[in-house]
Amino acid sequence: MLDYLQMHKLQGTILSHFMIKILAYTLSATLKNSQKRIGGLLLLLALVWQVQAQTYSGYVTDLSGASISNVRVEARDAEATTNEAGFFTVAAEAGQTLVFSHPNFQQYSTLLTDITELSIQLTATDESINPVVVVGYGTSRKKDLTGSVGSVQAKDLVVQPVMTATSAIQGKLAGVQITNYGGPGTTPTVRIRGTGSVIGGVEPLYVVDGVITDDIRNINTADIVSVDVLKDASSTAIYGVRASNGVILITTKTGKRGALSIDYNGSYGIKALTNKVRMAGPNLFAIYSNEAAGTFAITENDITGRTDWMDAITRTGSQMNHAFTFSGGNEFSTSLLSINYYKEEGILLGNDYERVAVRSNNTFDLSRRIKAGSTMGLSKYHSNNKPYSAFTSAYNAAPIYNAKNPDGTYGYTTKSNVGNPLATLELTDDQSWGFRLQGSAWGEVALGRNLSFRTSYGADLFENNGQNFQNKYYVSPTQRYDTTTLSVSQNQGYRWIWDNTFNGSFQAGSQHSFKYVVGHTAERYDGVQYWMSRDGVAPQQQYRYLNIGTSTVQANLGYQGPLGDYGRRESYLGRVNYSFEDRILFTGTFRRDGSSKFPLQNRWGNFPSAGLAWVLSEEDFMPKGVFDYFKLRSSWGRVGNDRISPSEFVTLLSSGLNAVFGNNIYNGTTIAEIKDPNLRWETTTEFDLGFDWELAGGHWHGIVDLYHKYTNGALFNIPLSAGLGDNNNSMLTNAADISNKGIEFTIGYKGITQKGLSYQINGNATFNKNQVENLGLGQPTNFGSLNNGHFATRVAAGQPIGAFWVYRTDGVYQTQAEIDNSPHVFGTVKGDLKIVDTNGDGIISDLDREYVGSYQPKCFFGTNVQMNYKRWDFNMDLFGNVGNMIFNGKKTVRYGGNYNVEYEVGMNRWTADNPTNTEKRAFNGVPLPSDYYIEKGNYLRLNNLSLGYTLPEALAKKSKVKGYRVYVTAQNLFTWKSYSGFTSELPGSPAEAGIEISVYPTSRTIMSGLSIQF
Amino acid sequence: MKKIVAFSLSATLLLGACKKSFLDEKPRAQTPEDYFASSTKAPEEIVTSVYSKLYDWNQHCFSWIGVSSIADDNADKGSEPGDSGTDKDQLDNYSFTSTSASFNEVWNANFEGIARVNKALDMLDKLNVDPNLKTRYQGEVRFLRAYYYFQLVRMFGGVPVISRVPITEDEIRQVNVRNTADEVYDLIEEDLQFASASLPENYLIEKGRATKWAAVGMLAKVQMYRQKWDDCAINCESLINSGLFELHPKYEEIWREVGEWSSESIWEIQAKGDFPAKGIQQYFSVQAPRGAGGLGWGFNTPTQKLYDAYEAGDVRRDATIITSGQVLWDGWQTNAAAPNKYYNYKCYISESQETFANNRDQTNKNLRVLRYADLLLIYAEALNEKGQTGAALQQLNAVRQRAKIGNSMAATQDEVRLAIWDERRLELAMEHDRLFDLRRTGQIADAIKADGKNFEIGKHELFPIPQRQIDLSNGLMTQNPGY
Repeated sequence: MLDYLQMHKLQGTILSHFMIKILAYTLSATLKNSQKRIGGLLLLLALVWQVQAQTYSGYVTDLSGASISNVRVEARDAEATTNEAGFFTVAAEAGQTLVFSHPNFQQYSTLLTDITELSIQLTATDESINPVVVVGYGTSRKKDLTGSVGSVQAKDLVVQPVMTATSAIQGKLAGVQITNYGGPGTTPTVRIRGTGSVIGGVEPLYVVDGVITDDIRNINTADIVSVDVLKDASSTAIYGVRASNGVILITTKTGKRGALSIDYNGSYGIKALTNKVRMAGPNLFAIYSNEAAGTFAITENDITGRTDWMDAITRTGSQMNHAFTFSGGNEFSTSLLSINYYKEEGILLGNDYERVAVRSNNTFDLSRRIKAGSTMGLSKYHSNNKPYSAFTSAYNAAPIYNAKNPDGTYGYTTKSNVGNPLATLELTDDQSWGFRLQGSAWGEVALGRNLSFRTSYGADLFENNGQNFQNKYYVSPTQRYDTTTLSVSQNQGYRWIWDNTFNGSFQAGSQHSFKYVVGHTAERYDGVQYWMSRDGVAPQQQYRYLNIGTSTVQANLGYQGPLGDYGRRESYLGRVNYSFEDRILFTGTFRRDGSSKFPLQNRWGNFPSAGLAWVLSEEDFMPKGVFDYFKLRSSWGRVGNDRISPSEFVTLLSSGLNAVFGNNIYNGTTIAEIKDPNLRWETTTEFDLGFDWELAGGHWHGIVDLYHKYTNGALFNIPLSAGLGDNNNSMLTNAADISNKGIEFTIGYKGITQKGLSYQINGNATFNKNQVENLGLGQPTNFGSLNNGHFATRVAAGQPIGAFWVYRTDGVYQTQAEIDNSPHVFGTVKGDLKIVDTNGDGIISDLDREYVGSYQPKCFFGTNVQMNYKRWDFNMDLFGNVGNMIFNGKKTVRYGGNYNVEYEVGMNRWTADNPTNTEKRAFNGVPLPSDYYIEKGNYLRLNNLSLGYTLPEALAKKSKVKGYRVYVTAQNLFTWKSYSGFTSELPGSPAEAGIEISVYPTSRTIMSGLSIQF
Repeated sequence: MKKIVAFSLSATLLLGACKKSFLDEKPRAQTPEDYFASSTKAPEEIVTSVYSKLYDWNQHCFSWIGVSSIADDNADKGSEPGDSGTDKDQLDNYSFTSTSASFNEVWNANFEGIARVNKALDMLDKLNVDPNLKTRYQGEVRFLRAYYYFQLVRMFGGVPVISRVPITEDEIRQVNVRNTADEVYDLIEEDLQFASASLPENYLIEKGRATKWAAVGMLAKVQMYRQKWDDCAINCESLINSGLFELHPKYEEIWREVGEWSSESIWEIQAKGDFPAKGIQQYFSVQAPRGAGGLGWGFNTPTQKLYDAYEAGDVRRDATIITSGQVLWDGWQTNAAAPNKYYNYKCYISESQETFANNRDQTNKNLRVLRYADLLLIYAEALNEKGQTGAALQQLNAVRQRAKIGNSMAATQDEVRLAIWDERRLELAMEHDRLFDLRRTGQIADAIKADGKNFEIGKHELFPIPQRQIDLSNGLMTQNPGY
């Protein structure tokens, strides 16, 4: 079905090139070894080997470039130790191996050549000792930070059997709220320190190896070294106009110097629906419907079967992952090649997603001064799409007939308006596929000992295709399609980004040290999309071409136009880090950004930030023995958000406002929209105050951050008087001010028992208060359509974005007298909900609605427990949130025609004999959106539970395998929740999330896997 | 010191920043300048955009059907009892409030149409257009402005009169200030006078454009609303005397495809049923028979009272009302078990016998805005009010005869007046006319009460100004009495 031929060819090419290189490398090493034993047989090698012992010298640094002292440097016959500057000299011969070791760093060895000046970088063994974080246009030791940066390392990412890195960090970092979507191939929503915009885009900026992107589904989690999340403005401001939602930096692996290593990681598991909502069966459905005085009387004869529709449309899904990583390098270069195949079969029948991702990352030391490298990720995906509305249909469908009849035809009933959900699913043939090439090439020149220049060109090319074929079908008189329609779509786009930076450092005396970055960056992205459709294409698989349409009605519609988003940016950036004896730290950043999204006069803007930290534990006045480490941090900065459609400030023509004269369509054109010619970006000013601490010899550590983000001029469609004649009666402008205030806690403990059980427990919690401060000229605006003519949310000053705005209820009307004596909706009868006339004007109207909370949690939190005992390893993640509300929207989508009800709703309904005050009478109508549908969204989820076992080395050695681990893991194993629906995780746009209508329920995944290192 | 160097380096870079050309991303949709410079059809297309509003969902579909038809005594909400259609239940049972969504929808739609007119007039002045054509275009769009305002004034009473693109601060403020109904009507008459003087009598190909006689006919109708009986009669006579119009012999064909632009038709909103189809958005599907074997949502269903109001033998009853279970003219079998007993026949599209592109949302149903029978009844009413009761009866009976019923038994001026009103109810049933007739003639309270609805005198004679518009006006816009 899917043609991977091209892909295989490409993989083959990459692989063969790589293999040749590896072979050559291995061969030469082997020859060298034998030469040593046999003695000078080969002239070439003999020439290489005829060298004198000489002095090798160089610097040893960590990944951030900081010097490491006390590194033991061992040659065959000599050894040395690095000094304060990280410098060493040692006598050795070419062909020998130098081994670098330090208790806090991974041992590193290098084969000596006749290059005698060396530059060595060591990787920390325990990241908490001196972890290095990626901070944007550079790296920093964590202890040098003045801002708030969260990091998740590779080992904590791969433990989660999920597709994207953002899913894998759910619950792991304070201030980072991840809301997963259940569907295969989907990506979660990410909110860093609250929601700062209504329509300006609220997702963080993603930077993959320096290339800016907005979709990271193409990246295999196993290829990632670290995910670093920049949260406060001191950290993010280096990304200027794009940084107000935070920045997520993803760094992919590079090859390790030394012999070739091959890793294989494979896993397979099953997925199942976690949480079914119990629906009424045929009898209760019939009783309820008839009682609701629906149009149809459902009699026994109408009950021709019994279907649990949720069972009918779901299945046990599966998930499979295979990844090979080849890594190696010599003194000149490192290489990494990884190949990953991922496939997920969703719980919705026929819904799947598969991805092949190939990554090739290389570095080359061209000389002592010049380095170059590249990263490249190529991915291809294919998915079979099914309408997620099937979940809603299954919820609504009458349970009184068989999904499929014995003869293979679909069942139906005339007693309900809801079509057969299984038929809808099976008759949908909708596929999408595409590829993406994302990578960068970079070069770095050392201009002196403390200054280097780096240039990096990143590119992102993609193509996405869609193909929807609607075959003719007849399920029932109302569920039918009388022709065939083929619709195809394609979009292609590119993005390039060119960064040029100088990195330098210097000391002023022994106390003052400086590091700086200055640079320029430019970016452009653009693309094109097509959409076409034609009726009458024959149904056979081989005819998925528009031109095949044999219909005399050449029902073709076509569209070709620009991608929804295109633009250019140009920026100048600078950062200086100052350290006074590692006790007082200062970071200042400045970015000047230009964006094509805004009019000339507002095109350029400045985004400064400053951060100050004081390591109090280094001060004499601090009592000893309380804190091992205590750093007080404070930062201030200004960042922006330019994520709006292009040309929003330009008055444009609206064409396609057509009319018919005679039998022809005439094109109509006018200026339909009122634009704000003074549009500018959203500006967020953020203040952060925090401290990092360690206690009890590093066993305890923690972080506390207080933040206040204030977004000024948030984009909002302010409503306009109809008389002004805008076609949407609104204008996009910088109307709103939005604040997010919060506090984040992180705490961790690590220890080891006498019996050798090492463990660590980490927890984090974030309290955030989001509020629309004002809407400027704008009026409160309604959002959150319920697909039934009503709405449930509103954006208004003094409320969080997307607050639920609904009618109040006060129980159920028990007597006619009660109805007569209170304002009520026309037609109210006994058993209906009492809608409260809150404003006391005697009528029930929108003016009686009240705010009842929002989908935004007051607090979200996560806990992680890791244990290692001998060969066993164990991981457990918990995640949850409290204080959010959910609108159970699926209950309100009823148009009168005998929709099914939840079992509880049916059983507990109000009747004269059951005069309950909590459940209404049987009713098929469209209800008013009221607090009856609002439920608490609190939940706690056992997000991940993993157990692994590493096979004994002895066994491993015999099979030439270096490492061998088997594991079982369960994702989303159990959820404790207040909400009665399918899932508490309800992503959505900022003004209308938290409404459960057409949602893909979260599923539970149980997998087993195997990792092998050769 | 080195720090300063580092800063000055970055400052140098910053100062060299101004490569403006790189950031100039041209918009990918046409700018007005580029369009006017390159298009030879700009004037025509700007005029077409004004017509285009007529096809929109918020202009002539669900909300309009709700306020202009479901709220009268000829039609009920329809569909199923619990299916409120957002607020159509409120419109039907007179429990609507100023926040009922339909009012804001139709308000927005008509004002957008008016804004397009004003923009067209503005641009026609600025563009180089052949003077004759320009006059015609001005006539067309001013006819449409009159049409949009006529809708508004009949629904809401006085509304803001906006006769040019608001540019000055005062003009922008004034879009929120209501004028009196008379001031609105004055603009309507002025526009229609202009249109009748500047439009051609007919178009050879481009049927659907406003004509002289459409303007004259509309003018007569507006004058009937203003009880300017002399002017009204003169306009009726001039239209009748043109000799271009006569009653179509078969009433039941008027709303079918064969009846499009028949001799009876004065103005229609032209739709196109073959591919690519363009019609009034979902006009058919909102009203078409509902339920198993149905074609649509089944809103706006004729009342039993309407059904019973037709005399025996009146062909108009079965041409106006579908009775569930019956076989329609094209052989299509309706479902006897449909949720509603009656459906609107005048919106019906035959998928087998008429042009149909397999798209129920875009059908070839022309909305018959003004037809000769309406004009004859307007003329009859004017004559009667002028005391020419005999002549009035003659016009009335012409309409009755086509309906295959006998002459009216009315004799006195008062009797004839009532007879004409009753005739209008039946002749124009389900044609978005009844509610406004009831209001115009002062019968509304009795009629709606007789329909079993909660009519409040002194309030329900007009719809409420949408709360949204009042909120947006900063206190400038006033509400109608009682709301």
